[in-house]
Amino acid sequence: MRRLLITVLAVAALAGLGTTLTRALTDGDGSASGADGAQQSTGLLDRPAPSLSGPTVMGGTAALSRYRGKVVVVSIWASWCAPCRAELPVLAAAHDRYRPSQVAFLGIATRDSRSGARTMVTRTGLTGVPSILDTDGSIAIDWGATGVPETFVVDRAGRIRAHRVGAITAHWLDDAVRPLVAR
Amino acid sequence: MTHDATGSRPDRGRRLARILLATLLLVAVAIGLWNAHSNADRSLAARLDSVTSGLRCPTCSGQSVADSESDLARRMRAVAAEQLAAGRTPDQVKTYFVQRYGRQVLLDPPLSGLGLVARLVPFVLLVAGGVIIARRLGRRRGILTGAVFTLGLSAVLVGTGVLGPVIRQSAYPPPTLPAGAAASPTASAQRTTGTHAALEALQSGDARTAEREARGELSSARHGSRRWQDALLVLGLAQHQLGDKQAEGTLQRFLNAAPKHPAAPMVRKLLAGG
Repeated sequence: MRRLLITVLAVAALAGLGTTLTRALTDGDGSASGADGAQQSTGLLDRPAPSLSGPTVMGGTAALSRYRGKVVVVSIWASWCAPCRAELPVLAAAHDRYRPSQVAFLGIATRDSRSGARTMVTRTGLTGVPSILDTDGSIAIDWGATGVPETFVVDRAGRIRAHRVGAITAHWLDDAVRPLVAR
Repeated sequence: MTHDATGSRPDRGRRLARILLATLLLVAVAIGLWNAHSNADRSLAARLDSVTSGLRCPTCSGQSVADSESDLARRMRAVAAEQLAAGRTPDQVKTYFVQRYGRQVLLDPPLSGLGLVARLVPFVLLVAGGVIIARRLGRRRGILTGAVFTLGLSAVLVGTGVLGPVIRQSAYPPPTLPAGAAASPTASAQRTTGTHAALEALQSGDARTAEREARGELSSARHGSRRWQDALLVLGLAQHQLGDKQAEGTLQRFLNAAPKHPAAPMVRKLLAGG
């Protein structure tokens, strides 16, 4: 009888010890990897692109679904972001260059006012690329973005195949788009 | 007291042990069920807190989405609240963020290495306890009691959230590694977050955005650090541009904290000029 009670108590004590150990390790891991967690990238790579539609900066509406079957370059930008000011002309030039290849370009103007974004579009020559207005930044979150600019390349099947955090270059865009166009 | 009327000492002891064990198990199951029920019935605010406190703010150093005041964390909280209000469960909302930001967005450690061993310890101990009891009590009664013991204690552990993370881990999709270009330091340096975003917004005349970004940066930076000083400076300048009465106090706070900052002479001049 006594043995049974001792056994029960021993098991309970061991379970308690295990629990404490688990909790201690959980807390330790959480704080240790905290700094490494900064600036993480999207988890959407090679997964279907989130749905994207809405009113555009210049008026009208745009939707990613309209470009099904095409390679689509999606750029997240804002008029208050200096790297974006440098990047958007690169994007506009790529839009012109890839027009014969049937590559579509879509923008997401995030946490921006319509007037500010409109001025930016006009200044950088991005008028040919529809940019969806994301005033509250929720679309950027839906795309797993952590800042601006960020660029995604979506393949013909609607999967994200490339992602760039920071301003793109013509070289990076070519490397990401050309293999997908050739498929 | 006769031997027949009261039974032998070992019999009495065994009966007492059985009653004690049954009571313990009933209490264990009751606590487990009560906890599970109260977890399911929590308010929206409590569910939001449970979700956001388990998510790492992707642009902060070791802060949860619940604790961080960065702009991204604020927006993540808003998205989480919206989804919970729409009827999604906390686990579904967490999965949504894991799919977008990778498993790194979870503050719970991944199930691997020592963490995996530690997480399995309670399970192993539970099963071992059940087996020991089963063997002590003999075949028929022992197996039943051992099984009830294991289930009862499992209910308590799940109810109190100890085994929850182990069970929940299996619900998340496997982590996806980001593209090399995306994670490169050069790429990160070219992007706009925190104080840079605030400064750029200020330069482009958008003082509201500058103020918001600077506040977010201020709350996520270590108090007194250079990042914190810069954020305080930009906040003060944004408030000044907005004609906010708090501007003077903020800029004075900046001067007190960073009298030798390269921007300090300019700020003193600004304050002296009214």
